[in-house]
Amino acid sequence: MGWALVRRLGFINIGALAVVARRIPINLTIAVAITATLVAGLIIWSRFRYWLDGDDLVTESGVLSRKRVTVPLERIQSVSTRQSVVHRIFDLVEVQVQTAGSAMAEITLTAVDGEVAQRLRRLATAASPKQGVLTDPTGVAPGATAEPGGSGPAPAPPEPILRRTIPELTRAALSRNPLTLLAPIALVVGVLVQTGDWLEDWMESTVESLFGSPVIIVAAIVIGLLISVVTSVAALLVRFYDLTLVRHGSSLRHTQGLLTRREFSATIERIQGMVRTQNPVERALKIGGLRLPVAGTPVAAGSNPGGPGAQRGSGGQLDLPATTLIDEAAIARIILGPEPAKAPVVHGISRLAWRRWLLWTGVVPAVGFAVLAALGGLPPIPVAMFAGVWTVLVAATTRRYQRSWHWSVGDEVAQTTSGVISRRTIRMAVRKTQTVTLRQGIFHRRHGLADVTVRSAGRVSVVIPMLPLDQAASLRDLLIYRAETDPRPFM
Amino acid sequence: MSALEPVGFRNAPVVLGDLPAVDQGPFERVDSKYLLQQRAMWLVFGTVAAIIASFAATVVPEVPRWFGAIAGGAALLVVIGAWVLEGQAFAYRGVLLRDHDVSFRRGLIGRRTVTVPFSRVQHVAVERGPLDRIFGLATVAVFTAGAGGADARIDGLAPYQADRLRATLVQRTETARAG
Repeated sequence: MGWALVRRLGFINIGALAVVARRIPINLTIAVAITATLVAGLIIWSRFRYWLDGDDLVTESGVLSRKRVTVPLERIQSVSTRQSVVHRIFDLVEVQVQTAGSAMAEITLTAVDGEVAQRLRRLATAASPKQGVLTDPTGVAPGATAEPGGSGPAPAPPEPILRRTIPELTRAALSRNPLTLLAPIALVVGVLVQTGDWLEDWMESTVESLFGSPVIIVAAIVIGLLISVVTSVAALLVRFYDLTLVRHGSSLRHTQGLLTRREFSATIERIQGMVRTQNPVERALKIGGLRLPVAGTPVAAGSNPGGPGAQRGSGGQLDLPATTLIDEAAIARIILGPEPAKAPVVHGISRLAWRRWLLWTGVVPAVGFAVLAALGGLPPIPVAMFAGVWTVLVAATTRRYQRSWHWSVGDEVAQTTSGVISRRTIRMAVRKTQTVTLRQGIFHRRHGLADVTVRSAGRVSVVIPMLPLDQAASLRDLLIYRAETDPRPFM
Repeated sequence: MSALEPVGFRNAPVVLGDLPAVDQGPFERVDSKYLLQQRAMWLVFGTVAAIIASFAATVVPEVPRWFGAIAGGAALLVVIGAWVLEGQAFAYRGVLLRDHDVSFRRGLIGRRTVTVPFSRVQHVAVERGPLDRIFGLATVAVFTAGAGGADARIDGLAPYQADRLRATLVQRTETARAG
């Protein structure tokens, strides 16, 4: 208990507490904290063991209470590696062994030779019974060629599906940062501020008293924007530097990172679908952010540990910025299978949806605001005008939003596209359906409509809104039928 | 041939009208004690609201006397409305077991039907909270891969029903996985 508390707080924090309390001189505290961290690290390290016991990988750890974890090799779903800057100095890697069941990596080997990760992965692939149904495109069993470093004559390394260069990543960062859009606006404002007369009074009363000169505030805005843009480019470059997606037999391997190198592989079957998001800038550049949700992996390469990817059981995802349509089509062929000979019918959604969105996003807030204003004693005419303008604005945008919704359910793939400004396309393999849900709100029931939600094992589900009830029910029946009759694996 | 196509995979045409429809049911109702439990909860809520309103109206000088009457009346209306709605919701609430999947539908105002194929079930849990124990009820929670929580939480079952449902689900999941 006490030890766990100390470890959780960390020596550094305890030291900081001591300093704050001013009981202990700061130099002594720092020295003690560093020594204690080193000693504790040494003790923890010396009490950690791992070995292969027949077909099981076993680890034993713990200083006072010992903990032993046994993982059968055939249950290993993936072996990921992480290499921080410190690891790279000593040419070591951190290995994470993941099984399907748990939300966390089952076993983490904090620092081992890169060779160990390779060997573990080879053993796991060789022992794996779960790829028996898959046929390898090369006609060789997955275990034989899945590893480039495998025994026997080394085959040529497979061609990467995707590789991101620095200019591509920079473009992605620039198109993702909303402040980039503000740069031209800032320029215009700057020109206006310096030439226009109408801002003079306002400038004098507020800005000059604060900053002395309008030129300074314009410069400050521009510098702020620049800093924001540069940091976002730098962050993206550090995270996605040298991003490579390679196919090895029946799995995809994903590598990225400038300071900390991360490598993650997942069998193709575990990738549940594809989600593409495109903001207007990305649309103009014909690129988009692509996410591949992976079932059963908590923290995939690219997701932050403890971030949304670490949510319990919901699976992680591969994050691929600046993906062109050609790249995306190639990835879709791998994940979702070849494109069907006959394109599936694409549907819009019911016109009734507009009324509902208009009601809840336009009329209700406008009326509510007007009522509040009346109670608060605000002048009625401006309030009424504002409410009217608001409703008209919402009416115009919801109409466009509703028109942007499209869905299709083919033999293999269910797909929805939506969004006026930012557009999102979700694609999911129909056979990877986990559950199908029909939902009706008050509005739905009054108009005989229903929403259909198709959920997969990863962080992707397809929602088809505002279908006529009978159509929704038969779509549900079809999806359930496909999920139950398709013999192919879904995870 | 794609790598994703397993050996012997066929893709026969599907006639939409011939598919077994979940809506044809028959959905089985949950235990009638569930309706009792829900109505009792509303009664408790209404009583507490009425007591608070009358207390406020009589003790706190700033609250006018008529407020107690209005609030009490509103609470009574809500309870009566909920009483009727709960009856309808109970008639709608139900479980449907078919050869290959389980469906659960429910809804007081909005409605929801969730369908889970047996082959997708990861585990099944039977839960009995304190309220469930007072009224002699049990909840069966069905979990699949990748969900944050239970996909279907079938509440309002009698304990023997819950046990039977759990056993059926587990057994059919095993068969579906093996086959």
